[in-house]
Amino acid sequence: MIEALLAIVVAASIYAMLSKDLLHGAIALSLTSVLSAAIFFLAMAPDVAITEAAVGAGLSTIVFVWAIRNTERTDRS
Amino acid sequence: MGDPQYGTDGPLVRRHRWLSAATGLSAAALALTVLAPLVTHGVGWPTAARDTIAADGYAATGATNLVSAIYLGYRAFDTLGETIVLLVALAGSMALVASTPGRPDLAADAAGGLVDRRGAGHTDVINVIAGKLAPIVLLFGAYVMLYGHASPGGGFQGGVALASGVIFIAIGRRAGGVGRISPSIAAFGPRALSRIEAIAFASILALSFPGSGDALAGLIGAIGEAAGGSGERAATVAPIIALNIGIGLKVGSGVALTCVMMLGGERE
Repeated sequence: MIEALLAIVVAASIYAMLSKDLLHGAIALSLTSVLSAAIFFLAMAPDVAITEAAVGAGLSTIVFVWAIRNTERTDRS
Repeated sequence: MGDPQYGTDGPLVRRHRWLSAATGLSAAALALTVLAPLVTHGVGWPTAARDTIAADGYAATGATNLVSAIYLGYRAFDTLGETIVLLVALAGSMALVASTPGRPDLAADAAGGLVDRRGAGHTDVINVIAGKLAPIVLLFGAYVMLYGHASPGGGFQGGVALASGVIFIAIGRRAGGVGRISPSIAAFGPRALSRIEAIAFASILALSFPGSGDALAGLIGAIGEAAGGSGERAATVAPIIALNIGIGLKVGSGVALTCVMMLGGERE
């Protein structure tokens, strides 16, 4: 179970790095945070899981989306 | 586009690419050199502090959640330092957010006020979900904050969940979905949030003075005895609950303030 979740985390992280659409990348990062929270919960660390879900999936996604909205959505490099 | 630094070809970019690849590889090698002995070496993890806290933590702090016992009972000053770091980070990002001019189309959009925001991708689905989720998320955050000594969570986690609830309210308000919670909207405005943050931080600082924790414990114990109970457990755990509430309100209002400002709430 944890291995499968870790595999999806790695895949989503690679997608977030390579994606030219920054909004898709931010959502992929949010997905990695949600899955990491699930992994922490399975590893019996509910405190860390709550923090990861709230900060990683919630707040940092808002910050990324705000930054993308105020700049531009595509990665030019 | 014509900027040479961001072009797709040219010797400058190519050299930078090699440079970053070399830097990345050497950083990975350094990290492996430091971390590999931890995994491969036969010596076990240090256990003295762990065993002491596992044996005495409950009696010393009264918190059944030993994570809370450690970071608010044994290492509260460490947590105070982290709170100050967070305060500085929030102040910096709020200065950045306030000085960001924003795109002109978006500024005009925000100036349009509550109703016109519906056009900017805000559907009824978002309105309904934000409005219905906000009270649930706020309740969950309050529970995580208040019961951090007994169940997973604590001030920081509960505070961030509270901030999410306030953001849901802000999104619903921005989308025109004020609905039933409109009378309480002033309580979640930027001015009220910054006041809550200042008061909460002052109370954390007050609790960090020597003797203030003992004074609070004595007070709660006396109240508990007056109410007919022994008051002993409540007195032991009172400083942790008080710190959880202070940190939760401070983190929640600070993070919510930043996000509400990002959403353009300060322009209303």
